Amino acid sequence: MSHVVDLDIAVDTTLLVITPEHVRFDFQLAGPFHRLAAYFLDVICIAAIGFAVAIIAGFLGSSGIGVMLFVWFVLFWGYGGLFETLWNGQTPGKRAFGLRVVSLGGLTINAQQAVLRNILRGVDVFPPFFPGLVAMLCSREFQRLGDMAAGTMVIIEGRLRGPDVTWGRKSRDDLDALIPPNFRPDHQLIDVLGSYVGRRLDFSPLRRQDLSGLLAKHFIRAWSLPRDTDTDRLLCAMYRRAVISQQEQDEETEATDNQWRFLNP
Amino acid sequence: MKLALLIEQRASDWKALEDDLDWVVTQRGKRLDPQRLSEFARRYRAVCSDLAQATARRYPPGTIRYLHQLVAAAHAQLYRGETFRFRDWGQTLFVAVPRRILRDPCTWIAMGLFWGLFLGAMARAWLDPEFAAQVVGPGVLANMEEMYAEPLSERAPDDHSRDAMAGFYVFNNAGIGLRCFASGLLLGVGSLCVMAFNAIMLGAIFGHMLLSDKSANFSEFVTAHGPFELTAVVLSTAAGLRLGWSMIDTHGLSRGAAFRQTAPRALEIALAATVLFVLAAMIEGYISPSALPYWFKAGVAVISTLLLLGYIFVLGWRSPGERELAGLEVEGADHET
Repeated sequence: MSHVVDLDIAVDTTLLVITPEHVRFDFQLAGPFHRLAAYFLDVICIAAIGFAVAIIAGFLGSSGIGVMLFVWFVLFWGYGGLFETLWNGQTPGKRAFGLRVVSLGGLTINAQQAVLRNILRGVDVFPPFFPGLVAMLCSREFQRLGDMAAGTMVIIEGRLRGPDVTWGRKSRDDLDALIPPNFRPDHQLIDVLGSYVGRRLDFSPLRRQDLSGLLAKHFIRAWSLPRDTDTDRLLCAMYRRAVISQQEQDEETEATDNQWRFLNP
Repeated sequence: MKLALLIEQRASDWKALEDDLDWVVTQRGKRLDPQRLSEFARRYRAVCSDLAQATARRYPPGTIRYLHQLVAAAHAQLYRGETFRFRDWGQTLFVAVPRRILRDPCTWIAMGLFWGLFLGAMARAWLDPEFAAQVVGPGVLANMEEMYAEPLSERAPDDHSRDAMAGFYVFNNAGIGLRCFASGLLLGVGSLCVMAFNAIMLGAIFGHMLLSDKSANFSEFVTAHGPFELTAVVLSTAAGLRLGWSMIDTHGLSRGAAFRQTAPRALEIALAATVLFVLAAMIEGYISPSALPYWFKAGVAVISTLLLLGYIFVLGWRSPGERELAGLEVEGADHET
């Protein structure tokens, strides 16, 4: 089965998992603040459901009170466990904030884990020490005590966004011709270019010019391009050239490349 | 081949995998069409290889992020844990749990402490009439005396208020049981505190009520549900102690690993205790306050005691069958190294 790799170099909130197919993928872990928001929403849900049950029970007289107390018991102790079992690791609060509970290896949780971590929740939010918060800060996977017992963690799932193919569509630009044919960027430069191209639409046009200028000005000087070259478009053209032309060149080494990929996950 | 073209070509397969994921999630628990399932597995492997390639060849970050999510989601579905199966739960409740209860010293420690404190407080209340009032408060005692002032046969409540009482006993008592288990997280001390508090309160009330002239009414009320309820308290405490003790005596594992290994097993005992609490609440709500003759209530108590003894000793004593040896874990954490 897949296992989690605890890399010393990992300083951010991602967790690397290696699948049986020898592919690594990472999880974005949810910290205390994400989870607190989801928890508050769940508390509101529990209160709302409990209140609704109480109103309905009010019409049924003292039999209704018995049913209400029974439902309350199931609601207070079973709300998280039931939802996380039926909704595959999500409660309404977690779903609203895009969180999900998974096992440490990245697999879906089972009913036992869901029930266990939720029954132990009472201790995690025990004031004034909040042992769960302390445990989260000490744990690399932000586990509260209930998570440690059940072997689970909470991840930020986000919504699946489609593959980003837009950058390739507009695949011709007169700037392409200005880049020297012997331009062979190293991996570091391709990464920088890639991050820029991937995120440039998050910035306003002016900010884009600002950021791209920092890198592009060196190439404008080195390749003696006109001073008023659009730095944003230049970086896009460089990335296109880097990735696409490198692709063509790599075709020849495809066979050996494949082997390497699977033996060194 | 151009990268953009490559991505666009593969995108249809990625979309198909997304659809497969929706399908697998919505069909959860049902029999899946094997044809489509093998398609799903094939697509997953293909996307894994796409992700590896995307990382090695510096695909656009958006695409890589997308592939990470897609692989994670598919991986979680393909290698998911076992789903909910009632048969396994029966197996756990009637095979694994009684064996564990019988062999776990925590059970007998919890039982000894509970009965020691309970009988001690009772004896003290018997000898010193002031004691109960100091422990419980005079208001509660006056309430209790008023409750049992009349014989049960004369003030038999109507059916509706019995429903309310049964619901209350589930909510309150089973809630206390689960809280008692959960507070075992604090190295077992929490469970002991909750248990000791309840044992001394109960003992003091029992001692006081048995001294009073209403003792016949009181003992008639508590007889029927006593065995289930008191055993449930003991088992909740035992489960909490087991949870806490796993962090102290780790049997060579790391503290975290020992804790993780023990917690699900302790939970099963706590859930068995919850079942007992619910049974006790039903008896306490419908049989104990009823006008049924005393021999019937005493009979209920005897039968439930025999059931409990049978559960723990007969089911617990059985040697492991082949099925259990084949993989179902029945041993407590303390039997493993």
